[in-house]
Amino acid sequence: MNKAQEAWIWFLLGVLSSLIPGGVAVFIAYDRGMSFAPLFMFASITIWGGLFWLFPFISGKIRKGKKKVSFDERDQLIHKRAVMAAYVVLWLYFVAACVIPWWLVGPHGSISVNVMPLTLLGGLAIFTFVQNLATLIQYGWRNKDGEK
Amino acid sequence: MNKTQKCAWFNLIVLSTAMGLSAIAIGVLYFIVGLPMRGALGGFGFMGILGLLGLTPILFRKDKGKVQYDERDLTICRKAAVVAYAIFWVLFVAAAMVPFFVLGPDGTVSVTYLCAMVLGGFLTVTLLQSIVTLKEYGWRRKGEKP
Repeated sequence: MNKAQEAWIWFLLGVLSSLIPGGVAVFIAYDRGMSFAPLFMFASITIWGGLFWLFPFISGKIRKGKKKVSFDERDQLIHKRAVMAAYVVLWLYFVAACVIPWWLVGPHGSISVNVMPLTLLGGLAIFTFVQNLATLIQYGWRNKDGEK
Repeated sequence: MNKTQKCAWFNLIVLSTAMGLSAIAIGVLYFIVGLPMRGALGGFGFMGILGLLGLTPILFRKDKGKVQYDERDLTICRKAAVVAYAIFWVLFVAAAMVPFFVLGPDGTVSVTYLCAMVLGGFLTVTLLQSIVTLKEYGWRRKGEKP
């Protein structure tokens, strides 16, 4: 399994472990009102999400000595292409996120500022998702890239 | 000077002209004519000059039988795009978070602000991409064979 596939698995784990309890917390908050349980779940998800980014980093540090070369020119090119694809999709998302509210509420309308950080979070999630997906597509989904 | 450089120069000139004329018009309408700021913002009409950017593919056509785009050009274009989008991302974060901190969680923003964000994002990306492209090639014809 190469580096990109590992990154993809880490990303999926992170998203699933945040989305499932997040969805439950939102459901509880809507159904029974805001109480300790959903607040605790939101706080836990935030802390978990904050710490989760450390796992791939620590994993990479631990296993650094085992592989001789972990990042060559081909990996760099694949990374650049993936970032480029992610930026293109991010741009489309950004335009849609700005124009759709204008279209929905009309030219004289206004929206809550709380939508702005949510837009940002959506952008971050889409960027990471597309980058990982593009990396994985370029490497191949399995070990078919001539790795020993 | 190759096609990419010509396009970058063209973008830079059109953007500078549109932004410069808009700023001058807003300044004249507000300070000299004495219009209120809402009326003076009509000077942004000069941004319509940006429509000339759509002529780039027609003005700089590909010459037949001549290689105009190699790996170096591709690397430069990719680098310019990544730099432009990286800075755009920082500005996007700032534009999304500043109203939240200034107005508080109960505040509202006009949808006009969102449209201004799109225009600002487009200007930032195009401007930075052109500048980085020209910086990477060199601002003049250095190293190119005549």
